Amino acid sequence: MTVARAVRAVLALSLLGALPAHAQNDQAAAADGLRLYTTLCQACHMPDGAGAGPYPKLRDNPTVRRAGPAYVAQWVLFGYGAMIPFCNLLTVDEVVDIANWLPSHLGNTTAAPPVDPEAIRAQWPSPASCP
Amino acid sequence: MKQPTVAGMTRRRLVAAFGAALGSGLATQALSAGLVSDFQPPDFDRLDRAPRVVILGAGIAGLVSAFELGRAGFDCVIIEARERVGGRSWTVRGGDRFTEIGGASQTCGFDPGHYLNPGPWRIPYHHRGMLHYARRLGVAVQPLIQNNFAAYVRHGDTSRPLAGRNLPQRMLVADYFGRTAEMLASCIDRGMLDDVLDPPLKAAVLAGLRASGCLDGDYAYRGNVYRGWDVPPGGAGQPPVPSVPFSLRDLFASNLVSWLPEIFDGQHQPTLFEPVGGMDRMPTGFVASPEFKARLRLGREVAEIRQDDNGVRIVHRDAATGGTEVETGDYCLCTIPASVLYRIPADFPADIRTALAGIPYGAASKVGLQFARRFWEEDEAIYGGITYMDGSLRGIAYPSHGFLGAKGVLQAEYDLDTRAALEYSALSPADRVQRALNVANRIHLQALDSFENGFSVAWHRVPYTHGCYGLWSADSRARLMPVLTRPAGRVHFAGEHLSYLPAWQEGALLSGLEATAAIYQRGRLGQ
Repeated sequence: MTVARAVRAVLALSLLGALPAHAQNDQAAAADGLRLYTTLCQACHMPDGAGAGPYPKLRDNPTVRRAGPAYVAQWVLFGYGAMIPFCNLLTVDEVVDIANWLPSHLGNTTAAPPVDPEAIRAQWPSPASCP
Repeated sequence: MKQPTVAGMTRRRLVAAFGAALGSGLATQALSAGLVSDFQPPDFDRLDRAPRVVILGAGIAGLVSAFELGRAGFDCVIIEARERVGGRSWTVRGGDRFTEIGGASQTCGFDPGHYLNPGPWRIPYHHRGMLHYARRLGVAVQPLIQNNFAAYVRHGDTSRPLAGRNLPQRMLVADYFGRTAEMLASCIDRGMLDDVLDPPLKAAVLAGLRASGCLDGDYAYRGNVYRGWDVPPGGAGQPPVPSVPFSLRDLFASNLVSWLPEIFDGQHQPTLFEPVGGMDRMPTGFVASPEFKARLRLGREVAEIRQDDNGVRIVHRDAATGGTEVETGDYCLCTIPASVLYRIPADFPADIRTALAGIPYGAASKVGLQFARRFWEEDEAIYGGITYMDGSLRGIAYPSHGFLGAKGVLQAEYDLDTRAALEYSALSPADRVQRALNVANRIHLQALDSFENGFSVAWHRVPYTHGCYGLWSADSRARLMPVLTRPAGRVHFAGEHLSYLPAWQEGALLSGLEATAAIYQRGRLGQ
């Protein structure tokens, strides 16, 4: 699935519009994942997932690969230590996009299943616990 | 609205809003006192013995503690990772070099006399602790102009009215008061609020609305003198022409009124101060004081925090060479930000470790832009204050020093804890400067031509801080703050994050003094 998705991602750059709707949606989600990474995540995790100082390297990250999208979503929603929670900064769909994107980009591949909006919405922190 | 109790409250609030002349005058004094911090100058007796305190961090919390404990006879040493004191109370001047996390380096190109305070830059009049120490340390302060009715508000949403225009804040304030008073007075005059306003109150409210909203005899708002003129009064050849207010629809549909709380915010009301020459005059003022007795170890990273029944043992290493040393003491005051401290090996119980990892640090970013001329003053008569806007850049602050001078540094700042702040942090320093300059140039078309150089700080990329300030939720504050305001054995914690004034130096100072008082008592009793 990951390979197929990567192939679609490349193809879609030139073929967007000629693909079936679900492929277009996947492509749009991947583009959103990349956009979220480069505009927000790399503030700490650095361009290309290189990591620096206290911020872990996300490129070729064994835990991300093994634990997959659900694991990334936990970090994004709740934070920990120097990682800020994004429950006040991202939409449900954006959390889904970044959580599904990272484990299959930046040198990562994963066999873990993707997360969907319903699952993310169910875990969303309450307003009182979201800083 | 129709229950007597609600009506009674409405009446009281109206009376308060329209001033003491209409009511008992009870509100004004209490409200202004309510802003003032609970600072009390410490008054410690000097001890015969000299308990030893190892203070981790030379920011405001650590410095005020060292200052006061030293005066009480304690033997203090401060371990500080940076090569300077102050922590986030920091000033960048020409020639200063800064390397952020990730390796990007900048050397500041500002001319002499110009600077950027990347962290705190204001001391409100009600932050009595900071002003007490400025007075005591002989740190000269000058007024910092935050609210300037000549500065602009601006929004860029073309689906709404008044988009893309620089609107002086005086227009927004005048029209908000004028249009809301006009609308309310019209309703009252037509008897629509007779069920909550008895006749004497109705007359008083109408009179108050007419006065505060500058309404005419028909309760119509047609602008006023503080809104400004289309043609300002001049010599005998230039009679004034009043300006025309925005319509009720434009005013509210533009959503510019949402900036009003920013303008009236209690932390933003006059008078605010800044130390003359830069915010770091406060931390350097502590160290320069003859009463400051602590030993300072700069450039030393804390590697381990250990303790037993007899004392604390702090392992620290040279930030450049890695060589370790040990400092021992009776007590430790730890002011290291939670975002850094949670990873440092320490003998803390599990609840404290959990609490330290549960405080994320908010994003914030600032860019200083030096211009060859002060076009905001020369061309637009803006002296200090902030232009507020939507989009990626929330505000441009005009310097409150160097008025009428040749050059100036504008401070472009980004919302705290927003995507915009993180988006700036995700850029390289040079790109942050370019992006801020582009936005500044939308407000001031002279900006590109006058630009000389810039310097940017994104707080998540600042070593030894990892973010701007402790960010609490209602839950985490209730659950975790009490854990960290108790000592862990002989280790006490302090910092802005352990206060109800997060991100303010006053919060760090009050937190530092709370922990200092606890350490003093233990030292006095030999516990």
